[in-house]
Amino acid sequence: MKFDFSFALEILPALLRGAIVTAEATFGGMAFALVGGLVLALARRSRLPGVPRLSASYILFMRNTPLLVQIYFLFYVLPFWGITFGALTTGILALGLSYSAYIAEVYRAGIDGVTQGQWEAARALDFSPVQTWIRVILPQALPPMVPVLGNYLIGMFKDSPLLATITVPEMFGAAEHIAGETYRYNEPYTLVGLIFLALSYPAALVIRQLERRYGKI
Amino acid sequence: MERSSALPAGQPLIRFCQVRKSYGELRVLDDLDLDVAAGEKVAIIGPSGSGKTTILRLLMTLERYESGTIEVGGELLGLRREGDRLVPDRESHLRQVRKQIGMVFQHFNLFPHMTALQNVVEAPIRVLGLPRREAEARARELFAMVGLQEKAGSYPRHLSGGQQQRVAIARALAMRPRIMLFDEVTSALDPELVGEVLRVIRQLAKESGMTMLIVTHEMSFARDVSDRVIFMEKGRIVEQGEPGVIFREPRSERTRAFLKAVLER
Repeated sequence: MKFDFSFALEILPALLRGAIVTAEATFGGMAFALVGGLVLALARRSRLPGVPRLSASYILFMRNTPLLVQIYFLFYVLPFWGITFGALTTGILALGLSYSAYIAEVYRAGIDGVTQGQWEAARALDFSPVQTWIRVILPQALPPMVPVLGNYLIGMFKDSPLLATITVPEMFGAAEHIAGETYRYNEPYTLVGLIFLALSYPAALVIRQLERRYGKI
Repeated sequence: MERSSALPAGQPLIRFCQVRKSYGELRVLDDLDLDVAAGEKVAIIGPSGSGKTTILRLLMTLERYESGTIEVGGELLGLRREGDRLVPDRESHLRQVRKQIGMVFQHFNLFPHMTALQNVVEAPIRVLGLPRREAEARARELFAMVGLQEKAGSYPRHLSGGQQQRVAIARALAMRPRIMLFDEVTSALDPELVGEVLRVIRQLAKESGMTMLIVTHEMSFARDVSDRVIFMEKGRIVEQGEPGVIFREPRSERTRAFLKAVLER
């Protein structure tokens, strides 16, 4: 099979337009997951009856079902209950809801990584709960979370082609579209792989630096 | 100190009355009664698990107790009266009472993301509302006192255990507590670093009017530093008295056995 460079060049703009949608889905999903994970992590520490268990159940469920199934569920099942979003919105929601569960665990590990003695010292110095969080706990809990969150960002980026299955016109979807129309598979899929690699690999290098600097959880 | 209530003459500054505390099945404080006078230096000794540390942790409100009452400066600690009943205290009042107490921990518990100086000034600025300049001036005095003038800008990870513990002492003192709690403050130190920490506490005991409760395994230190030694076992006070008496002629067989064991190490 030969690789036709002029054809590759011809389809590149369409793929890059798809890459922009991929980026939207990834960053949108990550923003959702960062907030959703925080809500879940706080709920897990809550003293309200039933709330920690609810959060734990959600996390358990999301982590033990395939992302593809979750995406299909949101896209095809929810409309039966009158809940309909556009494809990209549904995609961002699916990625966000799923990754919230993982990111909640990152927050939890980061917070648990701060020793009990730090809480006790803060109490002995009469810090308020808010001061304890802001001045003592978070400055220690956040740095080790950064590389882990970065890894999840890359993970989400690489999961984003699943959204092609619900008609989101992201990069992989764009490649499929080209392949379907031209019956030429080599160039579009090779390019998609290379573009993913070109974006993921530098990001992974940055994260390795962050890990070296902040340590792992 | 304007916030500390005046104490009627003869009334203890700290009063434990029938205080009980258990961890699961294990009763670590068994209806403990204990009075400590203002300015008194009390050393608490005894085998591991005898409840020594629990006394300090309850005073610092790091843990709750099941029954009995603890009073500090004539005010209930962690509880308040509502009619005939005792209910958990409001956080704001609890903090008022707790403000009188400072604690130094076995594992120092310095804030690793702050320099020694920041460790010491953080609470005075945030909690007491001192201007930064004033808090830093006070911190410099304290660093001089604990012999760490040159280390103010160092992070805890660059300090030895003994230096870290002296920063921790300065940090607690910066809040100007009436009561200082020392929880096995040399147990985590290399032997050659114990002396520098004990020297600071000895000096503090001699020169300040603070009330001090000191849990320790260092017997000669306990003898020199305290006005009274308490020997505990299984959540009870077995024997207490002047250090000379306790160490030279303990009445209880238990005390004698314990002292024999630790002194012949």
